[in-house]
Amino acid sequence: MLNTKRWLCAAVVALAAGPASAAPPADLGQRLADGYARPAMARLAEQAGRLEQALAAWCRDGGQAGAQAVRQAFGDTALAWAGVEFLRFGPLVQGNRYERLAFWPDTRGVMPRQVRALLGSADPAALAPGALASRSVAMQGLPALEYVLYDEPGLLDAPAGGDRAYACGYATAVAANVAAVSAELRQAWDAQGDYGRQFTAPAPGNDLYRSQQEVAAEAVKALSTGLQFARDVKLAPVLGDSPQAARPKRAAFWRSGMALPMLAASVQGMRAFYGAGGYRYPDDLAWIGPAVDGELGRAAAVLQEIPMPVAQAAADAATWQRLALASLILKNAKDVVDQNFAPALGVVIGFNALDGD
Amino acid sequence: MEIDRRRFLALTALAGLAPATLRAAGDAPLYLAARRAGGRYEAVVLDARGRDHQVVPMPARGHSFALDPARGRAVVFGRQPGFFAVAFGIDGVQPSVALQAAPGRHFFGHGVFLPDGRRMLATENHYEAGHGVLGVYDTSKGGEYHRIGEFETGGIGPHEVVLLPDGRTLCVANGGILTHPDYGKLELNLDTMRPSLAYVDAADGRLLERVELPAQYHRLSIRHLALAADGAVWFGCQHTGPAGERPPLVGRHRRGHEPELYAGPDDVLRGFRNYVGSVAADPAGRVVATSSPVGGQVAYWDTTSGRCLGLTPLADGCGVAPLAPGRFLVNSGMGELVRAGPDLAAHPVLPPSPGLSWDNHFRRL
Repeated sequence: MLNTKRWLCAAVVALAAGPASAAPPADLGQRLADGYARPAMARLAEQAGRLEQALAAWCRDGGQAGAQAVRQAFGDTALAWAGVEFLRFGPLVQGNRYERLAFWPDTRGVMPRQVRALLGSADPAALAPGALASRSVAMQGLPALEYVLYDEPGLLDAPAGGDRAYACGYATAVAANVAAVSAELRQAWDAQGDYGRQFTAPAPGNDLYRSQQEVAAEAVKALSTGLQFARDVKLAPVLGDSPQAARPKRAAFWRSGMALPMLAASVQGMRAFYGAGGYRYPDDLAWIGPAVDGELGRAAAVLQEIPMPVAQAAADAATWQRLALASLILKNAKDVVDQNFAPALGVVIGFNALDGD
Repeated sequence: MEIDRRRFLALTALAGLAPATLRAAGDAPLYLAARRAGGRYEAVVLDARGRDHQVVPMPARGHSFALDPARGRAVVFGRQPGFFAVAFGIDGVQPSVALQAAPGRHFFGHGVFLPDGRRMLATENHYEAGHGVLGVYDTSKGGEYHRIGEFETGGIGPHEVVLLPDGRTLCVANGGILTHPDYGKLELNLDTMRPSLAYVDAADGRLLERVELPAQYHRLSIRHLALAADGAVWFGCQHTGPAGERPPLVGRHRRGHEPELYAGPDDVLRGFRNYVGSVAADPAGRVVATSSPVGGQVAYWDTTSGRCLGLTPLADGCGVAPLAPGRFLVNSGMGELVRAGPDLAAHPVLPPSPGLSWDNHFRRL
């Protein structure tokens, strides 16, 4: 059974500092911020800015080359998002930023319903600069943009004229919103940003992080829940119990064919985030580092080697097995993170605290 | 997503076994809790000294109980998203009955019996529609726990339900969080959460009153409930917003009034880590205990003044149950069981144990 049906809410997974067998690096927050979070946030902001420009140009000029530029920019932005989505704490959970960038999973089909209604109404007020930010989060982010580009009305393949102008204006407005939210993230994580300062300089008077131990707990939580999200939320519902039972439309970003590349990018991101920590272990625990790095590298490689979009990959017996293998490797990686990496940093994951209810 | 037939039959077979009754009950108060012991999930009836009286095997992790002390019965629910529950006799004689969640529904883990013993109501998720219901079960003689209907809870994600002293009004904590069993407990509506307390007539399901917290607290999920001596409902919340926000987590509501929130001292509030996992009143109904396994502490509140009375640190501590006036039994995910209270340092009953984890809730029969 691939789907464990248990999900650790990122907001309530809890970790209490316990007796340490290896203290976290004294500059852990600085390492994680400079070595991973800041460049990853900057990349997202840059790609989203390019996407907005590419859309504006293509909406104005049309043409195959312009459409290709939009495809490329959308894919790059989606990959950049995959690199930050597991940093689901701090700035990303303030002001509904996560949901504004990627409202998913959408079990009740809110996004398609709202986007269709907006396109049907062609309300010009929604496209005014900044106006989308006060609309439903489901209409503001990358899944909505993917929907209009690749599904309905399928802007990228639609002939010019007709309703294209409004849909194009909406797509550009969504890209602008994604760029604006991403810029906020970059700023918050910045060395001058409120959050960036707190994360990199834990201290008794620091309201968010009083010690590197608490920063370490945040890092462990991000990795643990990120791995679980990849496996239980992204892969398991798609795979079902067999290729016949696969449900590829449960995948995030199936419409653009980005589901598997994004999943691979996300796992690579977690691997780099782990690497940025520079964790050191006593000799008898020295295997932990290569184990986490190795499992994440293997899972990403398996996902990257699948040469087709998720719809075909999940329905084909051979590639379904590869996806199931990736799922198993992700589980192993999470087990090492929870059972070995966390306690090695003096982070205790409680029976009740872990699985909020 | 219901559990499959084969698994349910296995569960039925399991439930059909007479629960292991280890000790005669006597007059001492009995307690119930769910736990993981040596890798097995079970519900257990125990006494205040931590001695097992009865062990009910479970197919997966349990959560809380509906209690019918007059008839010596209880129902233990699977933990959210739970697709099973087991009804059993506290005496170990009445046969156990396995309950499967209705199609398209799962249990949230809490429920109540009505005082006449003819009905049991359980908080459930109507997950495709995305709203909360109370499943209504026939627990009369010969009713065999058949589900005979459901009531709306007036919200999403109903978690704990309690019966008010009038014996017919239910108070439901609608946590406000949309979940779907395909995605476990993942919150699907953080941007639009609207938690509430709902008062429901247990006889006909009428929504009598629905109370929300002020709008700035829309991400403060109301989850756990207890009754004070004066009939006020005390509630404990879990904040789903950023860790830097630190809203009050404990409150009181009296019918017809606005809800009141109590923050307590700054260090106590911070120590909750935005999470309350269980709420219980002492036997006198004058002190309420609120636990946070996330923060590793239990805080006590005066039900008259709302004043915070003190704190017991306990790693992964969550289950709280009334012991004596101003005294509670508290257990933890580390296997520990202690006596504690606002003016009593934690006094060990059972030491931490690597193979034993107590689940969130601890109930006195």
